[in-house]
Amino acid sequence: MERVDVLVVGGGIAGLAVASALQEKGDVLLLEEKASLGGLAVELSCKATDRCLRCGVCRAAEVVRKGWFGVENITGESPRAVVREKGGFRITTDRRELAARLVVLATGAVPFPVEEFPQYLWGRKERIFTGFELERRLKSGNLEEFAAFRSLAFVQCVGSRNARKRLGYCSQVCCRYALRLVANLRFRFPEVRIDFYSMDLQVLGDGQEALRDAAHSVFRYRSLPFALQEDGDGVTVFVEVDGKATKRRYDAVVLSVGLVASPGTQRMAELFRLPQREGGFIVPHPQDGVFACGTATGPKDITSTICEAERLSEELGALLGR
Amino acid sequence: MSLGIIGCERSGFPALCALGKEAPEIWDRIVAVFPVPCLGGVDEETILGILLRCDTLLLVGCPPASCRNEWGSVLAEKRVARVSRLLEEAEIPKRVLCVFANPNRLGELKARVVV
Amino acid sequence: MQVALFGSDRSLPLWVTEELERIAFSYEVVTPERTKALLPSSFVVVLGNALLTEDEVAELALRLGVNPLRVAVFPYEEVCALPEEKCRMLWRGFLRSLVPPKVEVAARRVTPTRRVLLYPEGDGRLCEAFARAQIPAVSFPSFALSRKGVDFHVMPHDIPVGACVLIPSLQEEPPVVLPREVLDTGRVVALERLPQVLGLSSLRKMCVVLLVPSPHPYPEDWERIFTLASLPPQGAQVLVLAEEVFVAHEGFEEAFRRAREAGVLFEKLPLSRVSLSPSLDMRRVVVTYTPEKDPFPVRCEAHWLVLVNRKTCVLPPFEKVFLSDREVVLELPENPNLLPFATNIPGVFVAWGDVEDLVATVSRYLEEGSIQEEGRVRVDAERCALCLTCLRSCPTGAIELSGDLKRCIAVNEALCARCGICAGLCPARAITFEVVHRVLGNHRL
Repeated sequence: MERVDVLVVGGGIAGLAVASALQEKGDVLLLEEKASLGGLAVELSCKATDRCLRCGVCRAAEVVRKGWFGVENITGESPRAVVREKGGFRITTDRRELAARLVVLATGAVPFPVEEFPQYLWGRKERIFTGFELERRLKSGNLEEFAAFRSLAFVQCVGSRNARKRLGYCSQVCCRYALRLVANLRFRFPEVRIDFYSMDLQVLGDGQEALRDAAHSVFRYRSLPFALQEDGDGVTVFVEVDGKATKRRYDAVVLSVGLVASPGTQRMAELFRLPQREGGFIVPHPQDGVFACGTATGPKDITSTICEAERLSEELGALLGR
Repeated sequence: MSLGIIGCERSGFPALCALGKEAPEIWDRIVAVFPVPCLGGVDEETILGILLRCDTLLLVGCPPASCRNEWGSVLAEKRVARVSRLLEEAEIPKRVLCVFANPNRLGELKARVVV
Repeated sequence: MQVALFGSDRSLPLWVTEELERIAFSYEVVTPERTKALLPSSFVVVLGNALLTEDEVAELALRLGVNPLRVAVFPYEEVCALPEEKCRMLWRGFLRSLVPPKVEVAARRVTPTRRVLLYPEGDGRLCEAFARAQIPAVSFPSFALSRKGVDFHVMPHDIPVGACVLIPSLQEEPPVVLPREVLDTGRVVALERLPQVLGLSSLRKMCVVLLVPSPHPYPEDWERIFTLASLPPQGAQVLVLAEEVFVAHEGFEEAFRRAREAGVLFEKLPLSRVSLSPSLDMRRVVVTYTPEKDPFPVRCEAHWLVLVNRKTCVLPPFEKVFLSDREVVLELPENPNLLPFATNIPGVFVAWGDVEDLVATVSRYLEEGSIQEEGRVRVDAERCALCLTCLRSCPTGAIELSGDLKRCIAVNEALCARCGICAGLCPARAITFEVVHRVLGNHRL
C-alpha cells in the first residue's frame, strides 16, 4: 500500500496547480480518471484576434505542461472507496490502495448539458451550437460553416440564473467567453451581424477594453428567448421584446451554457460525505483532512482557479509542517 | 514541397508537436525543425540560411500580443515580410511565412501544413 | 564521452543502448536522486518529449548541477512510435551531434528578497494579508528605485525589496450629472454613507432610489446594495436603477433574488434615460425615467437619492520613481503569460481585485524566483557600438549600461529570460546567445 502526504483527486488545472505547488513540501500523488490531464480548460481555444483577449487558456496550458513534467500522476483511476483512519484516509481505487494524510478534491465542472433545455433545441441539426462546441471548432480551425453565416445570435444564461431548475447561480464565465467568441468571430468574418440576448452583462472593470468593444459591436436584447427552432435554412428565435412575443431569424445560434458540477465531483461529494449546493458543487467547508478547490467548489474562470489553487497549497504546506 | 519550420518554444513548437500527434503524416513533409526560445531572436540571416534546406519555411510563434517577450512575434513578422520581398524581387522560388499558433489554436497551422 | 540518460523509468529499447555502445559512449541511467555520479563533462540526455523550454532545461540543469548547455532533449516519446529503423537513424544522428559546449555556464536559482514595497501606502487589509503571509511590507513617502539583480533597491535608504506592489487609487465620479438644485435638497448621499443616514431616521413610507452605473464589478458595493433588502420591512420603497446587475460573485444571484422577494425593485436601463430635479418643496428629489420596455416615463419622488459612483483605477506614477537607463512605460499588457496582477516590469504588481489572490501571487513570485544562467549571454565590448538597440528592445529590461562611465553594455542575468531578441537585433553581432539544440541532432541553429 502506497503512502503519500497529499492525494489530489482530479487532473485538471486546479489539481495540477495544487500538486505542482506542493512538490517540495511533501509526497504528492495526483489521480485522474481520464486517460489524459488537463480537464476542461484544455478543450478551450485561444480566442485572440490581433490582440490577446486574456481568456487564460494558454496559462492553463502552461499549468498542464508544468504538471505533466513535474507531478507524479496516475491516469485512468479514481477513488472507489474511502475509509477514514487515524492520521488520514485509506483510499481504494480500481487497481491499488493508498494511504494519504490529506486529500484535495479538484474534480471540476462540466458544461451544463443543453439537452435539459429542450425548448432551445427544436429541430436542432447543425445550426445550434453551445459555446463549448464553438470553442472546440475554433481550436481545430474548423470554422468553414461560419464563413457562410451572415447573422448570428448568442443566447446567454443557458443553465444559469434559473431558480426553477435549481441552478440559481451565475456561472461567472459565460458573459466573458461569449464576448470573446464574438470578438473572434467578428475579426474573422467582419460582415457578420451578431445579436446578443442576455439579462445583464457580467463584466467588466478596468483593463477590459477588448471585451467592451465586443459588447458595443453587437446588438443587445435584454431578454432571453423562450424557444428556438431550426429548419433547413436558419433558426427562428422566439423572444419577448418590448412586451410582445416576436420571431427573429438567424443563420445560426450559439447557446452560452453555464457550468455544473462534473459527475466526478458528485461522486467524490458522496464518497467523502461532503455537503453540496445548487449545481452539485462541493461546499468548501474545511473538514479534517479533506479540501476542495477549482470548479469543483463553484464556477470560476481560469485565473481564479489557479489563484485559488495556489492559496490552498500555501495552507496545505503549512499543515504539512514545511 | 519540402517544409521547414522554426517554432518558438512557448507556443510555436508545442503547436507543431500537437499537430503532429493529430496528423502524424506531416512529419514526412517536414525536412527541418528548429525550436527556438523566441521568434524574436531569429534574424534574417538565419532565415535565409535555413532556406538552403527547404523550399517553404514557416515561422510559427505566439499569437500577437501574447508573446511573453512582448514583441517577438512582431519582429518576426517584419523580418519575414522583408525576406519575402527580397525573394520575390530576386525571383527565387522559395517562400517564407509567419504563422501564429499554439496548442489551443491549430487552425492556421493546420491549413498551411496539411495542405 | 559520458552520457547520463534522464527521464525514462522504463527499460530502454535495444536501439538506444546499441547505438550508444557503437558510438563508444559510456552511459548510465540517472534519476534525480542519483546525480552525484555525473562528471562535469557529461551530457545529460533527456529522454522525454521535445517540449522542454529554456526555463525547464535551466531548472533541470540546476537540479542536476550541470552546465545547461549540456542538457539535450531527445523526443523519445514521439520517436518510439516510428519503425525501429527510423528510431535508430534519428538517435544516431542525435548522438553524433552532441558537441561539447564552448562556454561553461552555471545555473543558479535567484530568489528576490522577501520584502515588499507598497507604493503608495497600503491599507489595513493589504498590510494584514502580507503580515499573515509573513512578508514584511514597507512604504516610504519619497524614494527612488534602482534595479540590482532581481531586486529593487529603495534609494536613498538602500533597502532591497523583492517586489513592488502598486496600489491604485479609485477615482470616483457621480454616475449621472447632478443639477445644482438637486444637490441643494440635501437628499443626495453616496452609498457608503447610507447606513449612517438611514440609521437615524425612520424609513416608514419613504422612497429610496439608487443609481448604479456600469460597469461596476465591485462586490463590496453590490453587497451593500443587496442588503438593502432589509429595509422594506420598515415600510420603505427601494428602487434600484442600474445599467447591469452584477451577480458574477458567489452567492450574489441568491442575494439578488432575496432582495427582489423582499420588495426591492430593480429596473435595468441606461442611466441616460434618468433625469433628476428637486421637488417643489425642496425636500425630495424627483426621479423621472423611461424604462426599456415601456415608452412612457415613470415619475417618482425619492426621500433619499443614493449614488453609487463610477470608479476608475488610477495607478501611481511608477515611471517617475524607477531609475532606469531606458525609458520605462508601465503597462498592463493584455497578455495572459503574465501572472494576474503583474505588469510588464518583472517584480512590479498592481493591487486590484482580491487581496488574498494578490498576496498569494506575490508570495509565489518571491518564493520561486528565477534561474540565472551565468555566462549564457555574452556581449563583445569591442564590437559593440553602443547603439542601445538591445537595451531598448529587451522585454524584461535586463540590459543595462554599466562600467565607470556607463560606456558598456552588461546583461543582468537575474532578469534575463533568454529569449534571444537582443542577439537577433544587434547590428554588429556583438551579442552571443548560445542556443542549445533541443531535438533531432541535425537541426541545430
